[in-house]
Amino acid sequence: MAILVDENTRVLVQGITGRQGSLHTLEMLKYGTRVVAGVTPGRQGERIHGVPVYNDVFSALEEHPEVNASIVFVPAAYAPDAVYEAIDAGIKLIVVITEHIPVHETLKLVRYGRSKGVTIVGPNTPGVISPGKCKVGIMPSSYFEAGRIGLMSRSGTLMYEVASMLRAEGFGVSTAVGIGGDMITGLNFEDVYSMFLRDDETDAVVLVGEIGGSKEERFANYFSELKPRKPVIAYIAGRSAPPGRRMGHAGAIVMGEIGTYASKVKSLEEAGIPVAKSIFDVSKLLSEALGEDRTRTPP
Amino acid sequence: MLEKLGVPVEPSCVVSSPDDSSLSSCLKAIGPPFVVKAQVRGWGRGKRGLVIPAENEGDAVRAVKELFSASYDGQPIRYVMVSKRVQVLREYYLALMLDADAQRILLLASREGGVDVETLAQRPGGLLLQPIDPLVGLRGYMARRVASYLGVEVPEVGRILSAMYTAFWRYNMILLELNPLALTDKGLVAIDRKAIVDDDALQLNDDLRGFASRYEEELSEIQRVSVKEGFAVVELGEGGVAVVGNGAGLTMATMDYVEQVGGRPGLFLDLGGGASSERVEKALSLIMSLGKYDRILLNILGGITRCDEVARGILQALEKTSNRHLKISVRLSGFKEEEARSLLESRGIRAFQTLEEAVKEVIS
Repeated sequence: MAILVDENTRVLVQGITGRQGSLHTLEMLKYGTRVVAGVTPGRQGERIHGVPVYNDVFSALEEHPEVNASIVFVPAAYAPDAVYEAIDAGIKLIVVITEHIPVHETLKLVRYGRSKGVTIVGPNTPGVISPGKCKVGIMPSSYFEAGRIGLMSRSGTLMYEVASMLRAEGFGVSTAVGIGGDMITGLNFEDVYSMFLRDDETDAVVLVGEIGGSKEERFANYFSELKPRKPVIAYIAGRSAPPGRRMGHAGAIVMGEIGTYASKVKSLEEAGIPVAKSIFDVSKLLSEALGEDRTRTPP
Repeated sequence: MLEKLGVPVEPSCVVSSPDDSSLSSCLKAIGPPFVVKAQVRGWGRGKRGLVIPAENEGDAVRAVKELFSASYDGQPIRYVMVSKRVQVLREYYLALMLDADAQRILLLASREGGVDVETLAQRPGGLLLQPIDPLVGLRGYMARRVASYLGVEVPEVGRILSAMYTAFWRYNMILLELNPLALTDKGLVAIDRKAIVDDDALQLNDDLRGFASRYEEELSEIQRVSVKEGFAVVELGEGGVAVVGNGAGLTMATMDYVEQVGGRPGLFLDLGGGASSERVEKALSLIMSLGKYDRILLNILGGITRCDEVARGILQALEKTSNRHLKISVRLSGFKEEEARSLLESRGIRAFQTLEEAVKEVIS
């Protein structure tokens, strides 16, 4: 099963003729993802790595009604328009790779997406991968082994790092979801976790958070009242970061008392979620949480 | 800009130096009594003596001079505002803020002005919170609710809220605060206004470009280069380990680990998208040019990035330095990492497979 993306996912690439769009179309195809069409205004009739290009989403869907997911590589100034187009054309899963979209634009489009029953992943995300099945994203697939651990992260490269550490300890991943590094993201941790909860291929979940905002606190609050549930292990980056400074991601900033490392760890631990002191402790805590039920990727 | 949209403000003008030629005509136009305020990026200037009342033009000129010789958090004062001092009967607090995690906007109102919002939030009943769904926008009932809470006239506060809401969207504001919003004998006046705008909108929003260039003038050399190259840099302290990584979360986690095992992180540098040889070279050259860091830790999780290219970038940067004390430790993972390691090690740079080893090396 996995969540969000699997063997049945048929992908449209918006911004397919750009450098990133073209490169990652090839990488996704190599991984086995069914990329069936691409869009770049004014470039209809071309092919990128064999994938036909259309001027707009509606024309692409006329020819490829099987499309059920879109990945957006369009630059920040035009990305919101691309997402609205995909929503209005009826695509129900939209992965927004683009970074630096103004937060007011994101605010409106995630609210609009929700009102239309559309799942928006990102912005500023590496995307989603269900190892061995499908990847709709830019993550290097070599770090992701198939298995039964759900992974959700605000950070891209840190998600790859954690996946590779899990692999080294014999754990694989059912689906890894980059929720995105921006202040506002289409999916929050509780949204992704509720999907993992329903997924019979996921036994436990690793949450990779970071300082800034209150996504981790909100998740802890949601989790503490939840029953039944699957084990969660958390890691939070930014313990050594100073307050008031933006640490790379738009969302990674401690403002006053909001978004501190201490506040996140306290909320998570009070909700019964073990927090790893360093990324090297994640696998150990995961083994402990799974106890007798510990499941590993079959050799 | 708030005034143009319909927020009542007291007469005022801004000068950029103590000898600004517009100062005397400004003082004449406003007329005494005055209040002279340093323009700063932050809060609490009143408590730091950066707001000075002045009874006449002579006092005001002296106050302007005094403020330009002062500083705020180590930053020089670049602009000073001279305003008409108004007779305040009551002070309120009114703000719009982005409530990012709840995906909405919050309208905040308080019967107490001049107090910071965190303090207000801790007092029971100290703050009225009115959520605004961006798809619905500001509605009439919200103004009525705020007016009845504050005890002011509905049309007057309605006009102010509507102007604030317009400004919030037009200028990509994350926070817009009128604190205090003063009740005077001439009605409500916003005597102190503060806004935080979204960095990502600075280059995309025509209405903000003027502010963007003013902001760039204030950047240090390292910040200027970082903006140009798309690096994210935060300086933590001279002499510590400069931590360079690709990706914000990974770089933070690396810094955290350095600290956990007894090292001291001195600088955070996220290379951002794509760790090409050129970007790595620029980042390392930038750090070395500061002359504050003798230890650099590089953590590159390559994936499809070619690690041998990254290694070449490191070597190119090193060729340009004469710092004999420089210690670089590298952790590389990804495509062509073996080639990268042997390239680096042939030149005496330790390159490791795991972060643990690389950190151990750099703090030893």
